[in-house]
Amino acid sequence: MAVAANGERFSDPAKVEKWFGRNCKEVVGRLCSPAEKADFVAYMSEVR
Amino acid sequence: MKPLLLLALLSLSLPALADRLPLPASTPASYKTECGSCHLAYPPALLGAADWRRILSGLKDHFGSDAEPSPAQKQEIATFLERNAGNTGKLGNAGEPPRISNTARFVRKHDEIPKRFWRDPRVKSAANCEACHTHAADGRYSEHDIAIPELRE
Repeated sequence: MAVAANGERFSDPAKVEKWFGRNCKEVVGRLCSPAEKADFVAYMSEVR
Repeated sequence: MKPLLLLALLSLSLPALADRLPLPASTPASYKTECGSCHLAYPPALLGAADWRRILSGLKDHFGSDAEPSPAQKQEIATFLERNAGNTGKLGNAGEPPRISNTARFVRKHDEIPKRFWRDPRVKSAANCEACHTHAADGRYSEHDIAIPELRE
């Protein structure tokens, strides 16, 4: 999932939104806030 | 002699054909991404058109997941499934919600599989074709392509 492992990650905004939509609902039971999404993308972009 | 030879060849090729279920060349990209990212993009011929319609109308709660695609993609997928759906008369009733693994065809094709194989953690569920059919993604479901030696013994 990390950008370090797959450079294509988070490069397609529609795809990113789709999966946030699905996974936030399934995992946290509600939609994620923009700040939560930003934190997640930032973490996944930096983690090695 | 010739008709006999043809008949022999035909009888050899028929079972093989039945085990080949590649996605149609016309399969839209949306079907592969929307219906193939969580599970195998199932061959459309494994459910009848009415059952596919029921699946599509319930994607908001698709076996516990929200799998609703965009309206444009959904329309494209619906058209594709409608055109390539299987014959319900031959497949048998898929139940409610429709499941490929509930159809008589699926049950018949798998009737020699012991229950403990289905429960194996590497298999997890009858929806997980690729656990045993290692070439399912290429549409190859032949018995010769089943490769879980541990399950076989």
